[in-house]
Amino acid sequence: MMTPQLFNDIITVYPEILMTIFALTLIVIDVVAGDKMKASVGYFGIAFVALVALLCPAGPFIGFNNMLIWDNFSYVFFLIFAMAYTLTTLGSIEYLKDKNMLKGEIYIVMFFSLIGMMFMVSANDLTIFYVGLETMAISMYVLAGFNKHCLKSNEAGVKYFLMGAFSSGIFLYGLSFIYGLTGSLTYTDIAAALQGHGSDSLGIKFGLLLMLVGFAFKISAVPFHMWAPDVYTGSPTPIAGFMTVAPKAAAFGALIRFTWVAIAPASEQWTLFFTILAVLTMTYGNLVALAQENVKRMLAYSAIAHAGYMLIGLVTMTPEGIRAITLYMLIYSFMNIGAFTVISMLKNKGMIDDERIESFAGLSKKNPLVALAMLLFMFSLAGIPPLAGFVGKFYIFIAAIKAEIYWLAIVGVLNSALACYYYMRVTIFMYFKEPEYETELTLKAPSFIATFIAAVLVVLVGFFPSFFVNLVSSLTV
Amino acid sequence: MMENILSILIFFPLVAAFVIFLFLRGGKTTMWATFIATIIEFILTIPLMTSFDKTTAAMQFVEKADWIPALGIQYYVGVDGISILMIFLTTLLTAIAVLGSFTYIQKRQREFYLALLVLETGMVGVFLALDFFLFYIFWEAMLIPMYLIIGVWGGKRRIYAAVKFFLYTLAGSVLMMLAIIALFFKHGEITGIYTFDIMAITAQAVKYTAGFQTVIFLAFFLGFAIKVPMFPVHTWLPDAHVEAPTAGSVILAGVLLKMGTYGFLRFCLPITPAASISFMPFVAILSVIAIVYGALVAMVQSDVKKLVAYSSVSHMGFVTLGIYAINQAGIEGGILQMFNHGIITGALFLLIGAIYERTHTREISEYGGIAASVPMFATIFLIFTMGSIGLPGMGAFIGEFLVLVGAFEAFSDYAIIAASGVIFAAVYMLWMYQRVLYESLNKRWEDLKDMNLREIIYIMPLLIIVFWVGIYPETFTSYMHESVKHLVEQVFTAGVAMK
Repeated sequence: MMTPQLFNDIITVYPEILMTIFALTLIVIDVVAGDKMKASVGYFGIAFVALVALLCPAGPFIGFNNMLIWDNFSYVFFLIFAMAYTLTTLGSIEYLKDKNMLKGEIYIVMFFSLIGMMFMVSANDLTIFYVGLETMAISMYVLAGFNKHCLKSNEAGVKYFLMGAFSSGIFLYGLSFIYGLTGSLTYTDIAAALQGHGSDSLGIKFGLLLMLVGFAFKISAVPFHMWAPDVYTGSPTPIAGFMTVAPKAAAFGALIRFTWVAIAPASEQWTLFFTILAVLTMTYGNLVALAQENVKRMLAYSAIAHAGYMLIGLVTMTPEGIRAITLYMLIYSFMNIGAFTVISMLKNKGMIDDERIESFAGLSKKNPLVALAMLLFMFSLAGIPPLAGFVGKFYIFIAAIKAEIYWLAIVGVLNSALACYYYMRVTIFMYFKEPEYETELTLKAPSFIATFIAAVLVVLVGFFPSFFVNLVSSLTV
Repeated sequence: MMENILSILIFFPLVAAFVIFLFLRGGKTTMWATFIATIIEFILTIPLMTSFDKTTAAMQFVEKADWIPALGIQYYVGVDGISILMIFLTTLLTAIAVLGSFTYIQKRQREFYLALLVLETGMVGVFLALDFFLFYIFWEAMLIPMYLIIGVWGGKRRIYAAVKFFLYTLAGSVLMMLAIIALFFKHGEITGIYTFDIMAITAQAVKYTAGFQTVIFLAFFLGFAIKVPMFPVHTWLPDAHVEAPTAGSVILAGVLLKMGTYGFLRFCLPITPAASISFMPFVAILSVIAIVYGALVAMVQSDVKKLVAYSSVSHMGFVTLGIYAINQAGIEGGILQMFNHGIITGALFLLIGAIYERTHTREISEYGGIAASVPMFATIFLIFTMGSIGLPGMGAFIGEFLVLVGAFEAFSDYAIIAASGVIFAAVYMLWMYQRVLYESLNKRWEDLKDMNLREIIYIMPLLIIVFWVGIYPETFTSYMHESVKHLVEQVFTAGVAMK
């Protein structure tokens, strides 16, 4: 007989169980599939995430003694991961085939990383969170170094691993303080303990600081971002797109839950910490991106800057803030992966050598549709209406003004005006300059579909944001 | 059809662009299809003009629908006496700009005309939107096509000009976005209803504190001043004008600059009346500087297009001076001058474009005496030169006269200095005319071709309107009497209530 308690526990972890079963099935499919059919692993992966998205129970469920939660918040973040997985998979097939790297593993490892991410966001307990984090992170290390014969990719993998392990260590060290002083690892218990004892104790402050630094590493907030540009640049292009979106979304999801549930009583301290980080991250990310000649590196710094905007939502400490971050992440997922997909389609000399921005020169003549899609992605990332990116930014600033943090909102908008320039540079090359290299473009069905979906979403969500807005409009943690 | 004429006006060009994009191929076909579409769009504004009720200041042809209900964002459009002339100007100039580009645009014609159509949707949308979010979307959405028009089809330094234009406008408007959000919350706090409805937010203007109004005013003012452009944020304008292709310059001067002054009328004055009143002298000083400075700089230009660009700075100074006189004459003069400037400067850019296509130079010193070989051009150019100076009998005279009357009532000192701008205008325009068309004939231009039929066709409507406004301005000013009266009352009742 299944007790109601057990039933409740199982239904709470049901999406993750489903994902694990599917992940194992993917391994089998990979074995069965012939060498030429490895792309099918990816397609099955897409089908599986879609299936899970449909089969997920509506929450909220709290199980395992308050350690795990499945609610709308987890679900929306799962949708972000699923979107990232789908678009990355579609966008990567041709690229990987070209580089002779098309193996089933890549999609399987990516699939496993999704499970880790789901645990991170659904965790209501630091143990669960940590297990999820490592599942995600180890998969990511593998993916970063996936191009075995490329030195840069190897470097990316090792660097990511070292920095990841280092930040995990810091995080765990901080965690040990919190555990020692509050006596619990469950978010709600930590909150209760903080409420009771107050958060003034030096040990708790120190522990929290270390944990938040660990988080800051994961969301690549300045000054804990130094791994990000190298890792994103070195990784295979479609994977880099995935890494700028999904792990960051997971870290943000987990961070929101942790800060809002577990350490809400100490909000004065951590909002200050993240306010400083938000300003640094936006400004530094944008300023450095201005100077980049390598497109991937530029987008890496832009990814850092975007984390800064999202941090504005975090420090508002209002439900609008959470919703704004979630919406932003949702929109960011397809526009950024769209941009990376276009980059991975280009393969002229400049792109192969060092991914120089000049490789885009003259693209609008050679392939006007792809250029138009890239233009949309760039202006959307810059936050120009009526494209989706603007809706995301608008919500962030609404949250900031509602919370009356005007100066941070002003820093944010000035930054987004500044950022516009480097996104425009790509369009300058595409539209205004003559081609420097013989433009070669692999435009096959899967990558075309990925670009098309992302471009259509960028426009559609810009004009009719209601659907996405409603998705996040009642989110709380 | 009349009940949703405004939506048709906004979206017809966009739909046309989409249909052309999907179903038509080839540059020439797109060109003609775009021309037909813009003509239809212009014809659609005629029933709007004729069935417009001139006896009320209320918004007409209003359409309202929920768009993003979670935030109180609506699709809300309407037209009143302030915006209707701008709609007329926009649709007219776009059609003319298309006709004016037939031979000028040689490369990538298809994209050019599609960009123009998308741009038209944005421009019409800006003047009709009555929801802040909608307004902001249109306001910014215009940037992308205009950026491409300057950047792809422009002159030598086009990239620099395009980027500068984009960044300047964007920098101004991001703060405006924050101001809009702040108004959204302020209105919600006062009434309990959270909405971006411009009319509703305006209706509560009396209740906004003076400090709040000042902040909002400054944020709006910066955004609009860049667009006008007012001294000292005008530096993007000469670059953009000189580098843009003819159609780009016409639309830039004719329509885009008007959005800044339209913003003053629609937002700054009624929403922040107290701040507007206290900033009156400040804006007047900036306007006077723009009038005199723009004229002086125009005088020393060696490039015809740049000269006209700087003259825009000077002329737009009159508009802002009139608007910030905040009285019936001043504001009416300002609006009429917006209209006139669009027509006259648009025509001047078209004429310069036409002659540039033949000579491939815009340097004043390289011309000389061409009146002999192109008499028709010389005549028409002379008419618009006189129009620009403000010769009685032509549109600009009425506009500037009203502005000066209004300004004299509000601040007589500045009005006196501003009036000198009219003299400067005569100096730089006539001097330019003399150097380009008279003096001894440069041998290079002996067999220059005179204007052809197409060029005469597109200049004709502008010619008619210039004299029409000059001789019987009531046709145009009658649209705005009620709206302007209402606006002035609104500002003063609210502004006085504050004190």
